[in-house]
Amino acid sequence: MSFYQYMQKKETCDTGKNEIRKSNEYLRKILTIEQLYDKMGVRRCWEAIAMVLNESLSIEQKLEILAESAKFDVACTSSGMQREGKQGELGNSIAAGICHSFSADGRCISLLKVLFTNECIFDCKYCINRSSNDVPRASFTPRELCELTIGFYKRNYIEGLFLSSGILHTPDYTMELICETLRMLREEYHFRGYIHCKAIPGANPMLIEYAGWYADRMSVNLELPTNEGLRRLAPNKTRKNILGPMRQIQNGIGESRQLLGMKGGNHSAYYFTKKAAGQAGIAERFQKSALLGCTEEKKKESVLAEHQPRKDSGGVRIEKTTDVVKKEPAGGLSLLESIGRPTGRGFAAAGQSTQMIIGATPETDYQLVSVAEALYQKFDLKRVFYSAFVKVNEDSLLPDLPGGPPLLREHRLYQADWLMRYYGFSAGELLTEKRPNFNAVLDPKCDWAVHHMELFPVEVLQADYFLLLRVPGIGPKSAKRIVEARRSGVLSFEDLKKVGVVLKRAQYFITCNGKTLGRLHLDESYVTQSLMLNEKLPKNLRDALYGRQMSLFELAAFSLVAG
Amino acid sequence: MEKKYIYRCEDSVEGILTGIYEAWASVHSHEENCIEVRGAGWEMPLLFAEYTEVVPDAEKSEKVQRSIRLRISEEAYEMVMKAILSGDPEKGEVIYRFLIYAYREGARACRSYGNPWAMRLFELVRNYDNESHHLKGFLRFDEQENGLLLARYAPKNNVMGDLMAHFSDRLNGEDFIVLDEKRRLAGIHKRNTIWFLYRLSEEEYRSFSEGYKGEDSYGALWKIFHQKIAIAERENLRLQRNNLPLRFRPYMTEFRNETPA
Repeated sequence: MSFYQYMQKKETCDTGKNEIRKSNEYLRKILTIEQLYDKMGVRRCWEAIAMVLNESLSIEQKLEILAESAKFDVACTSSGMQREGKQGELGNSIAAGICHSFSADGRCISLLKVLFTNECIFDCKYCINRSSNDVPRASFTPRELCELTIGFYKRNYIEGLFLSSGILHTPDYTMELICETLRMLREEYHFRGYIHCKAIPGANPMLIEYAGWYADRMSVNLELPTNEGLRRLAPNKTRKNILGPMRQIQNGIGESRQLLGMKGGNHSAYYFTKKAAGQAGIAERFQKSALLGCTEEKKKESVLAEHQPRKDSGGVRIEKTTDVVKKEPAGGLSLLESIGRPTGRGFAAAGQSTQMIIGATPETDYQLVSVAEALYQKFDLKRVFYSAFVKVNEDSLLPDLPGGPPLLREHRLYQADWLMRYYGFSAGELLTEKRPNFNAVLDPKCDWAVHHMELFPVEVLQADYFLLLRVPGIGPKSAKRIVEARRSGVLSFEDLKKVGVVLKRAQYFITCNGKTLGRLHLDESYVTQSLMLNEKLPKNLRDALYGRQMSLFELAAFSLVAG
Repeated sequence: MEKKYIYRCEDSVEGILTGIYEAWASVHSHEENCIEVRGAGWEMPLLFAEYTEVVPDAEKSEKVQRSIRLRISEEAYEMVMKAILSGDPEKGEVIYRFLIYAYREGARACRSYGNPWAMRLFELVRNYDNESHHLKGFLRFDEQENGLLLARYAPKNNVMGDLMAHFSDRLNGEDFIVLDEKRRLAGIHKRNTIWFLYRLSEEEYRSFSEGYKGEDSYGALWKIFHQKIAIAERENLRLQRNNLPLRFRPYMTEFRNETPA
């Protein structure tokens, strides 16, 4: 049956659709628009009209509205799940993830990223779909969404589905619709592709568990890094409603791993990096000496979960996660109950992620990386995503951003995030309370290195893997290749370049077979200036930073002041 | 000027490996020999050269393959096979020089990035792998009559084998055809059975192209999605071009009917 034939046929087994149709019929029969206007006031009236309109919306119109509404969600990745195809079913999943296209903003499109509905009872200040906004509303039905996913998947447009949603009626009602979509996709359409699903804050833990057995990845958006910010901008959401499900999913993945082995889900990159770094003795020592006056004790303190209300940090207060979890005994799955569950895929076996909005509230970069680090440590997240705040609503509580979204800041946070997950850096090494924001011109790793000139130069042919990773211009791939290649011979600077080392950065920090590239001048200000002259930010970031293009000379002058 | 002996081979596994076998078995030194792949667009620019037209020989190719696996490593074998499918015009020469080095060095030759030929081979393989990975995402199927899915593309490297293995696992219940327009090579998958490669004659190719129906109703929906998911405030066409090079776009549904940038 073609998609359009289906559209005409209108299946009846579909709860969401019935629900909407019922209310539409009710509205058509009983009230005229004017009567509604009287009864409910302007806003409710508009909603009612939207409901009627929604029924007559074509699938094109729905997709238009619900894709547009989902565009600010960042995590469009399809990684972390390896699953072979199977006869009689559709699809497989590749652990590395696959990008299927790139949109005009240069971001990867991997999944069909849509909202189930953009009707929402919440009124989060930053969100285009907040209940007080006058925007076109639409809802899919579970079957429409399944047909769309399968149709796109077969044509190789997508790797799977990324389903998020506004909150229709109640969190439970919405989560039920999401669960029904996922169940239908897996059990009726036999879909083996990737599914990323949001847990709706405040939904019943049973429903979240239900979704977890069908989804590969789950995520709960942290939205704003501090409780204070959440209270101001997302008054309907609480820290408890966000961290509760996050903990439940983490425990669920842990139990599923015990139950099903590796198929039940793997630890995060952060976990493995820390583990590997722990085994490499040299790196460990190196790291300890490198901690910027940040003792273990202090580090623990700055961590999100155990964040005590600190008077000295500008009144930023993060409540204890431990309390939240105690109050929320729904942690994880019950192994007994999981018998009879569709355990073939494991429970959210590709792990969980979250995202934070950057620049809508006044946190420092140091607070942000500390929160991210805490999330990696305490919740074993696969990824934390950062979303530069785009002002879509006029609201006195929202900051003005005359320079556009803080893209450079977002870029720096992602760089720092990589350093934490793959390089073994800790948040306290990258920033401190005294130096709470990233350098605008130097990336976080260069910035760290120029403050630790006493540790350089590093001899490339001898240094161990984690020590190589500390050198600006050397990444995990090139470090691995160096370690492999030097077993069978000596490498030259030319060879380093070919295996992927960025010499324009690395040259100030390395010797190769005792030689240097040019004169090695281990002086902080000299290296800083040289690096800044070399650094070429992507054009859009440069413009965001300076509002216009800056000459090299100005850049150097600027950096001397800023550095 | 020193005289060169050039072995001209067919652009196939058998052709190139037979060429290498012949060069090895010849009375000339390695320095005097040179492997050239016909139609790959590269010729040794020499006045004093003697050409040998290599006739592909299954047995000789088989011997070379076996010796690479036994005397070097499985990894080297895989790298050489990928390099043969590479679109690089110099690939014959690169493989020949690499093998000379690798027979001396053994298994570790594959990671000896200090050796120029090992490095070149590594680059060919990396280019092949990257393109293959890209196309697993960028390939687009259009539904034809009877639910047949058809994808067209024109890759630099011949990554058909990789793609067919990938898609026959993923879409095992579908009939589909992947068509390499540059090599007139079709990968054909019959639902719930096997896949195979078929080289189309000029005539077959033409009739095939004429039968192509264009995109179906989902194409329009995909275009809507692709457009709506972008954040206008973050527009960055340069980043988009870096991530999704223009050469892939003529075959991609969401970029059709777009004026080239």
